[in-house]
Amino acid sequence: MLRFDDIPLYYSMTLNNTTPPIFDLKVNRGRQVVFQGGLRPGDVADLGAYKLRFQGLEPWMTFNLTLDRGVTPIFAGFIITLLGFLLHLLFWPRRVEWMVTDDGWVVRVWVRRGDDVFEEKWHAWCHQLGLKAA
Amino acid sequence: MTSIIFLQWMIALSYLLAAGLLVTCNRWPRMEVVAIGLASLGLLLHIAMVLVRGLDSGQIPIVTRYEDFTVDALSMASVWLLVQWRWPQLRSAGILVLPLAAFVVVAALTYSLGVFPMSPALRTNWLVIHASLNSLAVGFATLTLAVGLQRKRGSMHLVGLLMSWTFLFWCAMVAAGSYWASIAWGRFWGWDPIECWSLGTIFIYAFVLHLRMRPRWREGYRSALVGVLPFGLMMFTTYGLVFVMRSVHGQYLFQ
Repeated sequence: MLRFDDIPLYYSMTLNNTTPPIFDLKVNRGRQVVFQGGLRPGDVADLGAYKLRFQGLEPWMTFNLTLDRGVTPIFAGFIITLLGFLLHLLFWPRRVEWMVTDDGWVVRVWVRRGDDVFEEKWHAWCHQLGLKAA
Repeated sequence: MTSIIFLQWMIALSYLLAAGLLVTCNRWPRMEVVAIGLASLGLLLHIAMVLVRGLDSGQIPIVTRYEDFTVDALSMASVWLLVQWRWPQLRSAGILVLPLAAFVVVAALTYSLGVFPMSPALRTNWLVIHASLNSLAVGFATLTLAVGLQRKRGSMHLVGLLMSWTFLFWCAMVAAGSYWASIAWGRFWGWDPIECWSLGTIFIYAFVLHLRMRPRWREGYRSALVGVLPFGLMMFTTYGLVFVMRSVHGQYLFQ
């Protein structure tokens, strides 16, 4: 943070990717706007106690040398696990079985994961039909 | 610039008013509809603002810290609006979610509103997927926390479901980021601080989800307590980490 007479200079800057690049700069000192405008390479912004020169852009390059043979199967496994979890969240397996016994029809139903709403509805439905909910 | 700041405050105000109206719903149930209408209006303004920002900058507006905060707040409000439509019993969670969204919208203004052009190597659709999944996870995590803290009868069983969706989006975010890194940087995983803490968040969420299989951890204060832990970790990973450790994500998230 730059300070001038103990008053901080607040700045916002944007680099526009044009030809040549333009560096949009706005500098405030308190409520006063010290500088506002676009800088081309070589231009100087006069901020009072400071001067800011936009020298330009330099091309640069980074090399990454990596060897991680085991990562691809791990990543694939992670994706498959995620898809399985998605299916688990989208579909709530519920199983209904019914059979005829000497006493009449017996209906059994269960869910494979905690679904309190289903249990509640099942009980209400049985009550409505006059059936005994297990 | 001034109009954006004004709009941002208007959005925050509409979320806050909607939350205030939700508080009065016990006494005046009809206020619920007004609250949802007001929050929807705020959300429409919010979406419009993000779209205009995207058109202005010529890239997805989810790169800088200001944009990240704005889109995360959008996600919080929209996730609540969508979920309360499916499960009306979660409507009261808006009392916590909407003020948080309002706070995040205003907090975004403390960062530079300038545009940060991404380097060509990073400008792929994976940026959209990775960042959107992150915001979705934050939205679901906030709602999960709110529902958990309220500890209302009839909605506690949904905490596990919401947390599972949070977990899924967070894991998918890590997977998308990993694949993106393999294209842009030539490696899936580089043990960058944000990558490590994201993995830590996955482990904590998995731990809490497994803990919730035990009935005594599914309800009551224990459930609320273990809900705060992964949320806090997620917030630190998303917002706090770049302040204390150097990360490749800090290149743009600090802007």
